[in-house]
Amino acid sequence: MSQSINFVSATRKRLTAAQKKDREYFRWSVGILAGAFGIFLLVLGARFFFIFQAKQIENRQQEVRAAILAREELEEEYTIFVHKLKLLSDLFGKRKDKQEALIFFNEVFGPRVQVSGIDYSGSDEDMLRFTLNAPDIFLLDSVFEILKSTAVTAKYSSVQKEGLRRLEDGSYAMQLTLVFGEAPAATPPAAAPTNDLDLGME
Amino acid sequence: MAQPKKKKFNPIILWRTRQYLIMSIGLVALAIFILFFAAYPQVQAALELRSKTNRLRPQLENLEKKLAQLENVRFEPEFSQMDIINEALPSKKPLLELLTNLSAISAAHQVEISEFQLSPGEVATTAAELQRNTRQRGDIDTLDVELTIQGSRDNVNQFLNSIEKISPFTTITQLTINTAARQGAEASTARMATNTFFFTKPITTTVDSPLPVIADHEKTVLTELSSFTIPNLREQTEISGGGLEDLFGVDPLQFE
Repeated sequence: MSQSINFVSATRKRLTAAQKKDREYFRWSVGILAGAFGIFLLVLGARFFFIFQAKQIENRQQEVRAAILAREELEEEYTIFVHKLKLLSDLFGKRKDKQEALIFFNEVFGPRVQVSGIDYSGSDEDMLRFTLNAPDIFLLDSVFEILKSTAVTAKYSSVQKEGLRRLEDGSYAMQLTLVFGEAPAATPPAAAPTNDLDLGME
Repeated sequence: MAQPKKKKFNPIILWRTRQYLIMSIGLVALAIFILFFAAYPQVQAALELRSKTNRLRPQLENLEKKLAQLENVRFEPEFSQMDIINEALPSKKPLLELLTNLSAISAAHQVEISEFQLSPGEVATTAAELQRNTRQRGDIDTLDVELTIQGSRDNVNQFLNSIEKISPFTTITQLTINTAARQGAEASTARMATNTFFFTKPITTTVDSPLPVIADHEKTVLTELSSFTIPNLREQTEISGGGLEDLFGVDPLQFE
């Protein structure tokens, strides 16, 4: 009876162990490929979802834009209306500041001191210039005292006095300039002394 | 001594013995290829689309809001007062309206208009062009008038109050009052310059821009304007003869 001798037994054993490991790697690599493909599908799905969503929004935007364009005439009327209203509101606001200032000074100076001339046509629209008439020097003195008082300085930080003159009838006229929109000073500034003014005779 | 024979690389033997390893390497390479060349560009595209939808959504909300506002605008109580606004700030030079109202209030307060100075600008043909007495103050045009009135002190004061309560919106810019005793009564002479406002500027808007909003303080302006004197003047819509299109050369209000 003849006996067979396997010369590659050791090699075969080594190879079988390696092939076993290869199968293990193969299973892992199939998993990795499946995972990668899954990620690809997921991302592709997300992309299609966002495409669908963006398309839907764009379609809706087009519909709404068309609906707005169909109401163009109404939008035009309304826009002009509101624009005009805003302009008028601005004009009212500026005029109100000036009217309030005149009422205020009429009240603080009393009935004997008259406001005879008003000018708010200057290039600076936030400015009011008016002329005061005091029938005698005593009333003029009280006008200066009032202008120095906190009642005035708290409300109007910038009151400029100029053009003081004595008129033919013995009364005194003086021009006051108010600047709106300036915050009143925390402490009332000292009023300009009388001798700062140009005292002329008419 | 004979050299040992160098083993020759045989791919068939390698495939037969290590086919699973080779396939594993191939699959991993394929997975990497899918991730980098298929999935990654899709991620980028998806992120771009996401940011696009995030950008489009607020636009759509604004458009829908605008549409809803437009559908409700006719029922807004303020908008129903559009005529009052158009009377107060007309879109054409309001010369006739101003003259009508000045005449009406001077008669109502028994004052006499002794001097009146006005240059309405372009009248009739270009050859008859006068000194333009209209100015533009920012967004708005003004028609400037100078006038002198005479009457009793109370009547003059009432006239001065009334002139600032007429439509088109008019404001006194300069005023000088002289009061003198005449025949036992105080008579006043007031010399004044006035600005009457009108609006002819184009307004630009787009479909995507929101509708302007009326603030609360602007609603009070409407209340004040409703008490203004409005001229009872029939609007002239056609010109007879002369082949002229616009008496005063004011461009019509444009809307873009």
